[in-house]
Amino acid sequence: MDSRDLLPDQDPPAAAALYLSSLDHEHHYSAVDLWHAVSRRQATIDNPSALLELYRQSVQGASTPEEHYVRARRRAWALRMAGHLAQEGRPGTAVAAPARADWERPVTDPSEMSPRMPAASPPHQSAPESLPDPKQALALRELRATRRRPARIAAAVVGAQMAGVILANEAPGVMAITWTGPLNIGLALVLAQSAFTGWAILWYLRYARRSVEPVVRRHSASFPHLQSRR
Amino acid sequence: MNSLLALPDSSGTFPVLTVFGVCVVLTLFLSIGTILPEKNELSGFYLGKRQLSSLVNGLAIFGTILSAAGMLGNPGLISLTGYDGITYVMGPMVAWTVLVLVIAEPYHSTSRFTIGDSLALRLRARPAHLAAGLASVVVCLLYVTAQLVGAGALAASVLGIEGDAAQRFVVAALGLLMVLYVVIGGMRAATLVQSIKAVLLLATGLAVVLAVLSDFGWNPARLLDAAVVHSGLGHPFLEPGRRFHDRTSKTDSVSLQLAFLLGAAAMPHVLMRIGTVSSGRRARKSAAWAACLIIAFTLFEVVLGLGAAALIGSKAIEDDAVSGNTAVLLLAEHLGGSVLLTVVACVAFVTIMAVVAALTLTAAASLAHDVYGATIMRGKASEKSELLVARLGVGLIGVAAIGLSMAAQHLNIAFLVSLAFAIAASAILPALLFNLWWRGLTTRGAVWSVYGGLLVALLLTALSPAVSGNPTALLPDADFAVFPLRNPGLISIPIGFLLAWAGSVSDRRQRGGADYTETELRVLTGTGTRLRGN
Repeated sequence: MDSRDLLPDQDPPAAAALYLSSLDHEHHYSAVDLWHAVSRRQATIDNPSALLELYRQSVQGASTPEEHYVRARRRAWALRMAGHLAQEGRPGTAVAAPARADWERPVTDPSEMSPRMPAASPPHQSAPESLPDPKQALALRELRATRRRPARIAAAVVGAQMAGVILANEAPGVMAITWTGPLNIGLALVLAQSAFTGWAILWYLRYARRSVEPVVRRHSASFPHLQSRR
Repeated sequence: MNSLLALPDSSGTFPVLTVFGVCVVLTLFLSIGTILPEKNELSGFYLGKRQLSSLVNGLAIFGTILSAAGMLGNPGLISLTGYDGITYVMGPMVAWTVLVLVIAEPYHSTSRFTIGDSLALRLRARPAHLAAGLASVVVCLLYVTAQLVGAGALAASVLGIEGDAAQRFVVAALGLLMVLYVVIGGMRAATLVQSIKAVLLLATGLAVVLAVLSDFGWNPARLLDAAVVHSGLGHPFLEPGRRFHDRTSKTDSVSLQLAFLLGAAAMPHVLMRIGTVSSGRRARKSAAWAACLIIAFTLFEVVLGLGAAALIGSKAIEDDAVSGNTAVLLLAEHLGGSVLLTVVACVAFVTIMAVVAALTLTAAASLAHDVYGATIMRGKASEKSELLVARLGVGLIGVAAIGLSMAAQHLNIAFLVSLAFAIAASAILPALLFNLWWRGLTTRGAVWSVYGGLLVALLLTALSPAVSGNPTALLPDADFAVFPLRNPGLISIPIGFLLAWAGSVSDRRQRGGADYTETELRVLTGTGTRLRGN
């Protein structure tokens, strides 16, 4: 395990701001976008130490291996991006932002943090769903991450079935090859597909219980207007 | 369809009729007692009390979707076409992965009663409701007509009822009985019929499967060998190419498979049933239960089909009914005599009626809630008036379907089922999936996709060999079949998705997509259902 995992307090505030931003860590963003995200996140929190505290709680608060994995990846991304920003320097004109050194330097004393910045980005530049609350943004980020694997697995099961049908059409000879006894490749694939489908359903039940529900429960306080019916 | 050779004399017919009559009366008697204290409440009528357990709702979902085509048609097809039949029945089963993994829970948390509700959470209400409502009604009406025609054919072959008038009487009587029942009891009545049917169907299916397997010394390899021998085809029976052999029919098989794979995940009557539980977690679990039952029953179908081929022989099955629809009945008679035959026949009727109940209720909900309540009355209809319209709607849809099925009695309408699935996949699924998972969807995208997918699917089918141009078509004497495929899915499904995208990116009223915040929260957390107006 990376030693950084244990010490999120040492991470630069820019990384914390990116981690808590609404950007998707699986996507590629320009430096300007990243700067916007950093300054917006800064702008939404009055006390800079609150940002770091929130960041620390999130990084260290994963309760399942899946969550831990997602958060570690997001943290690595945030650190990487913050590093890029530090190297490139910020683009001069777009928004008022603190000096580069402030962002690079690990902050141990909240008083060293630059004062709150104005939210300078006009509305059309902001991310489509810029929620004001960083807790909500973080919750959304983690919740979205939990949905990727089910979507991929569903696509894989459907794709496997279509591939089987196309294979039967285009290469009937292959499907007719005897495998064992009266069972040929085609029938074996049919059995495998049934097992795959059944596995996907059972996997999802377990995944939802172990990896989705805890995330939802943990973040349910972030969305007070949603009434839980669970 | 030929009359059933399984019932050679009248002494065999009588017990079937009597037992069947007793079975129908008992089911209804039992159910009327439990549904009568129904409060005049819209939500109660559409969704029942919403206190079902996951298992019961899973059973009811299974009872909703497994139609006579699944119980009788699929094994018959397998007994005649072997491997190609098996891949055909796999499609709807695999579709359940999509339904469970990406649709069930998010749909539950965004919809109140209908698909239109789910769309209208973020899109403009009137166009979204109207489009979803119309597409649902079309899908349900096509499907219910096919079911009732199947009931007529079944009456002819099982009950030994000869003559058009008598068959029509049986279909009309059964159909009206079911309609009346749903008008009175709404979703709770439907749930009861569907759960009973599901248990009966599973038990009967299992019994016949076990009988088949015991006949072959519990050795599946011997069953396969016997099926190969008695199919009259030899080894090609279990190899691809029996049903789909030339380029056109191969392309058709891909089209059909695509329609079933994607359409089964967006059938309105299944989605409506998902709304009948109280929480997202229960929606997920009940869909998973249904999926497991479907997988089990699909394997049953394969064993039944192979068993019929092995024990009856493909030739004898084809002689009895060209479609193979009577294979399971012949198999039941072979294994258990007239007792098992009677049981299977009764279960087949209950199966059809349960599906008819679900479809008429769903179509009526779409009419009353989407078309009347949300579009005509602009969401200002009182619960009482909407409930009245819903009840009238059940009657209207039921009578329309009975009328259509009578008109279609002697026509080849086998394509109606696959058309219903193709429409669900091209008109409903794109809007549904994008609505739940794509930030960029706009009202225009959804509306284009629903109407575009619907029209393209209908138009291509009208121009296909299923409707004209050959002796087995709907209109054998006409010939305007310029589109080569029997199922439009291969073309219409991509068009549906493409239109949803194109309409959305070209929509200037909702740049970047309709507001996704609320929908996304509900989709991701599975909470927040039925907050509005309930």
